[in-house]
Amino acid sequence: MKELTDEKLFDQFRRGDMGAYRKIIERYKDDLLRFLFRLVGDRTAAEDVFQETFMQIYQSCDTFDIERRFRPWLFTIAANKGRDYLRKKMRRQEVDLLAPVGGGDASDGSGAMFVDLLEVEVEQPDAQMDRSERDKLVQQALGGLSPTLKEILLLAYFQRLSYVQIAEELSIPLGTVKSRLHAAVAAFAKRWQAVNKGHEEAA
Amino acid sequence: MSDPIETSPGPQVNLSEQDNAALDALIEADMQVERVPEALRARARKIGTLLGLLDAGHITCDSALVDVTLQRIARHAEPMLSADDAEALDAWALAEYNASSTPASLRDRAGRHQYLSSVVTDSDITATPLLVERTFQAVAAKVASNRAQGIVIPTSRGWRISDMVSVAAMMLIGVSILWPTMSYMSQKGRQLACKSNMGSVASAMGLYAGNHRDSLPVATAGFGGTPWWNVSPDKPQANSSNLFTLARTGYAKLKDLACSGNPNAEVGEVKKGAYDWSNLETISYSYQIMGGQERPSWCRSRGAAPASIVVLADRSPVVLRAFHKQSIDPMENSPNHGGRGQFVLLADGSVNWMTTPERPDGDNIWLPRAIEVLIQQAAKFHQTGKLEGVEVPFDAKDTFVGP
Repeated sequence: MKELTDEKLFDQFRRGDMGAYRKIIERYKDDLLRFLFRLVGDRTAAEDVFQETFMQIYQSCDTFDIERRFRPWLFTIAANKGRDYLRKKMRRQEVDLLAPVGGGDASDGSGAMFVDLLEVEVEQPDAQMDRSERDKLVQQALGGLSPTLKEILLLAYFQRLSYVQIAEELSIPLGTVKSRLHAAVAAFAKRWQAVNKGHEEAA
Repeated sequence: MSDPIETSPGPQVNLSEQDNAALDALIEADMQVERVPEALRARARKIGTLLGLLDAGHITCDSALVDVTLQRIARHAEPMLSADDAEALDAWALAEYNASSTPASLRDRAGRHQYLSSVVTDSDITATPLLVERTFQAVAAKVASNRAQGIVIPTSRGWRISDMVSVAAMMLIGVSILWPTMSYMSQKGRQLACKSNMGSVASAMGLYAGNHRDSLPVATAGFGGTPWWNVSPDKPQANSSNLFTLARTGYAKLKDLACSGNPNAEVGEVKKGAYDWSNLETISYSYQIMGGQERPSWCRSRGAAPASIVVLADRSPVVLRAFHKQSIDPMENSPNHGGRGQFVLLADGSVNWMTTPERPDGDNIWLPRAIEVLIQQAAKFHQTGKLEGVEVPFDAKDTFVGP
């Protein structure tokens, strides 16, 4: 039997079917948790934000337009919740929120302004590397990105939205989407190369 | 005390017409007075002397200053994508994040973007049943509490039975009129999805080849004397485990290797420790048999095989029948698309649609050359030839895919 679309399931939930809501959670549990884990950087926090996201989905459910797609809406709410969490965390750490947006980390010492992907070793450092070890390296690389860059990178990578859709979801101009995503990919590629190099040297 | 130097712009002062002409000529002559026309040379010389006052050639830049400046730039510079990578990123996003649909000139770099993204999105992290339960219970409690307080989430207007009957009648009429079109569209949709899969596999193979000296994916080249259709998830022994390497090592996802025309296709995550699909029926694509003396390589190889060799095809009906000990028809098309034809991926990364399994040069993609020759000699084209699952391609140019 053909499965109901997300939008239909959500509509059923709005009509009072709690079972439909459970199905939605089940459908998105892994994808959303991975997205949040990458965004906030630790699993416990990601699980908290995961729950807050679904609570927010319920509280805002009357605002969802059934003609639109559910998935981008869910991930945008999750990104907002993740951003709130990071903001609170940064405040606690007394980090200057007005710091310029950017990769902001040249600690790898390469000082390279331009990233050329053909020169970046994008393969996983060791094909047999343990997944959890690889996860840690990815988190380490993402950790060097500002929240703004991390958010747009993850929205593009996980949701695969067009630039126009990202602009709509984040309420930013199209040109900003493009320049911000370019900067985010460059910053991540550079950091990924650096953490890989560090891992190889340590091995 | 006032500043003795006049700093205000004062009234505008213009050069005379002759001086203007001399200045223009001097600039045109690259500041070389000798090259200025004789009539203007005297004025040009004076202008040159005047401009010479501005020269500060005695002040030289300390090399340390250059270094410090460069270091400061490097420290504060945000990394930027190279122009080619930026263009590839835009093209990749425009192609709905499918590198194989980007222009050929950008495909390599778009493939890099695709792989970089998979580094981020692929993870073993899964939500525990406890988390799902806690989340659900929290929302359910909130819903119950809201209901108890009389808070009801507004929903759209309810439907009356008469509305539903009218809509159902309209839908029935609509479906009966549109059925042939919908059926055709659905076939087309499946074909497009399959073509897109092959494109993803092409990107994955390109990346794999780039990291493995242009080799096509291999897990086992020797089938240990057992038929290469003996599919077992526990060990690499069938030819399909060679293709499965792409999923096992993270270059492709199982869903990219699953055709919607195969109802048994596996689309989830790769199971830990798995070397192959669960069984023959779950395999959607047949891969060039890698057990021969010569194996084809990816197109950018310095080359054993021509770029036009088929490396992957929709699953072979011949192998399926031979495995089940049924008679085979070498001209049968893949069951993935209802027998209408099959997509094939060539070693140059291009994807083609074939309406028969025979290539223009007479090479049948389901069979090794030895059996093709036998069939031709027996002059019984249909329902002849015996395949036992141990045959290998004649050479790197002989397309023979399975299982």
